[in-house]
Amino acid sequence: MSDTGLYSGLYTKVRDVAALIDEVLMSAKLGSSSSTDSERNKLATQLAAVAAPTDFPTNYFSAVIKDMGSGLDLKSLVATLQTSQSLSQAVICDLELLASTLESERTRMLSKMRGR
Amino acid sequence: MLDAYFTGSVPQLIERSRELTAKIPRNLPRAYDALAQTARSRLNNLIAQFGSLIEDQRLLDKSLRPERLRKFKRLVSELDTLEATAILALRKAQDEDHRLNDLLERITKEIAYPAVTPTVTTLSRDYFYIFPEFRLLFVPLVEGHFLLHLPDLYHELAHPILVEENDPIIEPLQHSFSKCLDECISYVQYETQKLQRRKSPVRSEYMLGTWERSWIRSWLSEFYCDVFALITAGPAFAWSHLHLAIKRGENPFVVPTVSASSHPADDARMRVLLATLALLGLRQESIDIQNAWRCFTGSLGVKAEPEYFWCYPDELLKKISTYAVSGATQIGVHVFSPSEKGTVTSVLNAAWGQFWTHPGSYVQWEKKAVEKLLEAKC
Repeated sequence: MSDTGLYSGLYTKVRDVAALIDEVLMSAKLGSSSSTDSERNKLATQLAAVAAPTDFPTNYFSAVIKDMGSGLDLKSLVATLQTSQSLSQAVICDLELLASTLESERTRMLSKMRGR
Repeated sequence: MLDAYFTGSVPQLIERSRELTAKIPRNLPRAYDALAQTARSRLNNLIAQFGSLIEDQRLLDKSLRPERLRKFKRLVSELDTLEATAILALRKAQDEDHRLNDLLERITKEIAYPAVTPTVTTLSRDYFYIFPEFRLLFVPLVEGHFLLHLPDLYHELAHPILVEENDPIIEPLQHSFSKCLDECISYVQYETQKLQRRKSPVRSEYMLGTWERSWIRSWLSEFYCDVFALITAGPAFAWSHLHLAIKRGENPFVVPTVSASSHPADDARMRVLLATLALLGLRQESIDIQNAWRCFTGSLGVKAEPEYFWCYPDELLKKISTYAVSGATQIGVHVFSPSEKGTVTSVLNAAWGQFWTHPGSYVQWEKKAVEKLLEAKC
């Protein structure tokens, strides 16, 4: 009957992807990002899985991004992360939107896990 | 301001992490080793991460303030959670917990549980729940003295399996989950399209959107954990669901209309359990439980609205049962058999038999059965 079990397994995933996005954002903002960055490639792999969900965590993520209602084109973002040498301001904006959405989701899940 | 704040608060958080490391007891039984090691390694990682907030020169750049703040908040949340769950459970572990850990170890061996056995703590403030990240299962303080709710341990065991990564042994269950979720989403989307063609009120369309979010975010995982528990614990789990619904449940036919709900309606959960009992060939048990459930719901003075049947159609619930049974059997868990003897599961099922046949003397029977189960083994 508790929400804790339900959310705590997914919470880890949301937290880890949020951390990855912040790492990529930091490199992008400082102009040191490149298509060979391991963080960028890890993030691209994670987001590609969310774009074609095959399990509970990726389906959950997909729903969270859909709920953003921003029309974010995940597949295009994945392709950019994988191939572009530097990340444009538009891509940084997309990543910032994702980062703030995941931060809201993370705190919402945490509240549920703590029974609030 | 922010730099000064981090300069002051980060060393304090590092000190807090060190203090928590010192609080991990060194004299616990082996069942706690995995949890203690996880806690210790997470704290070490946190100490390094906190340090990076003031040592990483990149983070001093003003354009990275949002990233730095978000990182700080994530780390503080992790430290808070560690302190309130894993460290507290280790610190407060006592005989009661040790006995339940022995019991859970037996259960996971009996059912061929395909993942690491969680650690049990009796610090729950809200029935049973699990933190898959720490593999830490919370139960109420004196739950180990009673048998009728213990089948819910099997439900909690299923939660970590659904989110485990990169394990080919577990993937068949996860793949069946994904296919089943497609069925659930397709159903809701088909109904939404029908509404749109009929130009029905926007409110109904919004409600269907709420159902779709509920299926994706939580409902199907709850149904899957229920089926896993029924397969491994047998009819005792369905009785346990009835028990919980009578004691603590709300309207068993409730349907969310505005915001997504975390748990499916209790009646829908029972319908999936009954379908699963039928699939397992446990027809008499299915009839007995269905009769008891109907008696309970009929006594509540509430009835299912048309939206309830629209939200949870029979065909979809039966598909969930079929998919989940197929997924669970493919990962090799032991399927309950009424003929098994000497197992924890057989005691839990016997307890429900005893409860219904001799309700007046059940408490005395249970005391002896618990003693035998936890101390002398079956």
